[in-house]
Amino acid sequence: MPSENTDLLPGTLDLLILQTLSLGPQHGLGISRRIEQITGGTFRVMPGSLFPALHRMEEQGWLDAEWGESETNRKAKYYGLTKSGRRRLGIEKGRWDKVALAIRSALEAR
Amino acid sequence: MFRALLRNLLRRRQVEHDLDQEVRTYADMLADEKARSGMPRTEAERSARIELGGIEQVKEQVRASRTGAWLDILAADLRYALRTLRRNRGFAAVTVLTLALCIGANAALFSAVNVLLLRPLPYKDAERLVYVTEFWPHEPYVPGPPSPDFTNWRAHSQLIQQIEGYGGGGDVTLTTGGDAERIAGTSVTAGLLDMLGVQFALGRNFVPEEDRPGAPAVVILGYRLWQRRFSGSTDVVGRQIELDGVGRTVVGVLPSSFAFPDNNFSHQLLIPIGLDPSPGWHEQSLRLLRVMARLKPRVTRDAVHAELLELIRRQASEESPQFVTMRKDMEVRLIPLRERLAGDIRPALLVLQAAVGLVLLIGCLNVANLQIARGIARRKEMALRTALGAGRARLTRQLLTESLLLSLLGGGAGLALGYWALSLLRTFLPPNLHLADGIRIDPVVMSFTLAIAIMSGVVTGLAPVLAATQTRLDETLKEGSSRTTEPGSHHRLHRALVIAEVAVAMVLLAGSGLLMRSFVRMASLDPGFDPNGLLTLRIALPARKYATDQSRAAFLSQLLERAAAIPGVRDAAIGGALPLIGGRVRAGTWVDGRPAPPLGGRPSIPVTGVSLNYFETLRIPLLDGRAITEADRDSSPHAVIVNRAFADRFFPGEDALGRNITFGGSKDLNQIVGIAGNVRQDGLRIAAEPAIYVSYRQIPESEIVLVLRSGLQQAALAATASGAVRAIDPDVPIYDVATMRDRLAEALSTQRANMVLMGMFAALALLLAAIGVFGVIAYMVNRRSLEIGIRMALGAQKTDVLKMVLGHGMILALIGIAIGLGGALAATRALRTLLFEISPSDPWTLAASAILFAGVATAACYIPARRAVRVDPMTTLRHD
Repeated sequence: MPSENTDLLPGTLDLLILQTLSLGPQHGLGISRRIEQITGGTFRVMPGSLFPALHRMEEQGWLDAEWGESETNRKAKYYGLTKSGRRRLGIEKGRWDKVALAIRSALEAR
Repeated sequence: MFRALLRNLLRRRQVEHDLDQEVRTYADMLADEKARSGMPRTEAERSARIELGGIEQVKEQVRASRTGAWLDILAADLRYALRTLRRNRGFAAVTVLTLALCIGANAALFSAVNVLLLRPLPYKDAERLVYVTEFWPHEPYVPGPPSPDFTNWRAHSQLIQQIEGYGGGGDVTLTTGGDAERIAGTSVTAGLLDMLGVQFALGRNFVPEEDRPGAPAVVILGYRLWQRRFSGSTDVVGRQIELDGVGRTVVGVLPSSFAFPDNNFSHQLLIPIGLDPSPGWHEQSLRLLRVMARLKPRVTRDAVHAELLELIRRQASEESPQFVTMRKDMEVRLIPLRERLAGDIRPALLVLQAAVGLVLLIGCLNVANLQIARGIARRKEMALRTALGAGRARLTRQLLTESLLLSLLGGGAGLALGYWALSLLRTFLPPNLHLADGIRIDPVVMSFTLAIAIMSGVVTGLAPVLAATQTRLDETLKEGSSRTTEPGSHHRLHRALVIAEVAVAMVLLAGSGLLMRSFVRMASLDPGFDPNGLLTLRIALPARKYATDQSRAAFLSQLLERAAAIPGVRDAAIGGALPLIGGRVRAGTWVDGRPAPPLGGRPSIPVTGVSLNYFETLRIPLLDGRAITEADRDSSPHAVIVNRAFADRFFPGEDALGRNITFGGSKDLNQIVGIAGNVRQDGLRIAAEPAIYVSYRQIPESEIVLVLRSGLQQAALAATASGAVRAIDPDVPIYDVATMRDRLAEALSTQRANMVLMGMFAALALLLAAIGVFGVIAYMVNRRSLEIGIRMALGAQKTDVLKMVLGHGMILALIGIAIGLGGALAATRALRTLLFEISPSDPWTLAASAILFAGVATAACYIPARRAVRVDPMTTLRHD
């Protein structure tokens, strides 16, 4: 299996996907490239993790999907955020802030 | 979520199509991207595929993350497993059969263990019920507490909630609803059945007013007797039935599930015991009882024990001097009900359950070995599936599904086998084990069976998982020949399992050998008489009609005459009791002229009234002196015969002949005229004790045994003899008709049952272990055929190859046997209580079992070894 997959903290993949899609619907490769772009190339999401995550989040009702034409005229599946997906993004952000704050103060504690 | 599950399950084709499209588009777009950055198109596509990591792998990962994926996977695994097994029918059949045999035996035995040792007893709050008994060291034959103790406890105990009693003396002759029939009845106190929480099928329990001397005569019928004699009619309650010539009113019928809480007593028919409310210590009103009590909640047995002893001590002054002597150093014993009911069979059950568990272990090891062999052969298949995207977890699940499917099939077949085995097992249990009626395959047994089936599946599935998932993909796929040697780790696991199998089977074989020797020992004991050609019938003279000694003696002499006249009967004799039949009357005995011991201090010796030709008929040798003859009739002193044990005890180093003895309440002198050989009267395990034989005219008993020696067919003779009895008096019941040989076999039945069951398990274990050895050697020969071919091409002789292969097998077998012998030395100690006159570490038995095992193992190795040398080396070498 692809081993060059950048390590993600558990839960961060969902957050990144939700954040990406909050800007508008996108297909799989688009999501992957956008995440790479917005994290400054730190995270590269491989399809082996991306697709299971997308399908899982769709089943949970956070995402909806629709077939559309890509910019290169290919038939692609576009994922968008649902109402409950937006709520989820809020929850995930809040949780991330808490975790980040906690880790930071832990590292600064002397 | 639920919608997603439905969609995944129902619109599978659409979902799969979409997924494929989605992943492919991703790959295409990735290639587009690479092409745009200047990469040639074909190169871009290849690079995109590599980056993607395989379309099928990605799809598989998505599938695994879907809702309901496990259902999909399970279905796919099951389909695949079924397909695989259909292709390997032989393997599947052997596995299922092995597991079915092992699981079936476990299920059957567990159903007995469950009822007898685990499940709550079928009485209300049974854990608070205890059996209370007394042991008098100077009168060890006293069966239970005398009635004054019982009434004392009942009146004064603070720790006992309820105390009830029962006893013998309930054997009656039923004349209503058919021929005169002797029925084993039990007399009980009125509260006993209520204490046990019995719900009557019909009618009610006795009331206290019915349980007094001189109370209205009533009776409770057991369910089977009610069905058999009164065809289950509901109007039986309130009816009068005739018992021993006395009318008794039926007040109730016991439920079919009721089992009397004492194996020595029957629940065919119950009558009130009618105790004197304040019995004294004189023999007329005193009765020896069996006593059962319900403790108050949170009271310990120890506390009750102390209290009961103290109560006896407090009233000791009321005991007559004779009882003071007899009760010296007496003990009170409180026995938990389960121990009383199933304590005798418990060691055997535990040993057998352990044995059958070991058989299952061997079966599992065998199947695991087969699975490993198959797993190695399937390495390529596994590697291929890994290459196609199956993860390790998925492969493990696949293999476990396969073995679980096999073990569940085996468990199902085992349960069916268990039903059959149970009926077999029932015939091995002691006939008077009341609780055994409740043994059946119930939900608890089914759950147990399911659990061991699943456990077997996991155990046998893990071995191939270990073997299959360790291998490296590329090497396996590249591997050309399948007949070179394989990684050593598989071999080691394989061999270790076979050795373990042999060791465990060896323990069982040794155990079964010990039981077999015990049985042979017991069966070859000299019972002291010749049981061949003897037919025995029990006869009970109705108490009313035959109230006097004269009337009984008259009947008996007439009986002897008629029986002897039956054509073909060589000898006809009677006895108040015979070896293995009937209880003997005991009487305090003393030698005339010796200083008398204190009252009650004379030893109780069984005194049996017999006809003159008793010894001839049974072929009991007369060692010294003479037989009692017609001339001794009405002689004074009476002529009596004692056995060797009596002479040894009372006249050690002296001549017993001509000495006078007294016994019982009578002052009459009895002169010893002859000394007979010892007879094992109370079972083969019990050595002969002193005994006195007198003429039946001196003690004409009402319950006697008629014994006939003849060469006739027994069933026909039984009918003729019964006719002869009825011709004298049709109201005299004949019962318990059996040949002496059958009674001896019965006396051996427990020993035989242990031997046969253990033998069956050991045979199964031996067979399985032999198959295991055979399997590993055959497999080795197969895998190393190339090497063997080369050796033979280079000039190795057939015998060399034979020796090599045999050597391999025998090393495994011998290591296993050695370990097994060590195990047997440790484990057979558990057998001690089941053995008879043989040590659990008997060297001959252990050696014989080991040799037998080695022989079987050699045979198991020889077959594949022969096949190895028959192979033409050229064929083998050309194969690749």
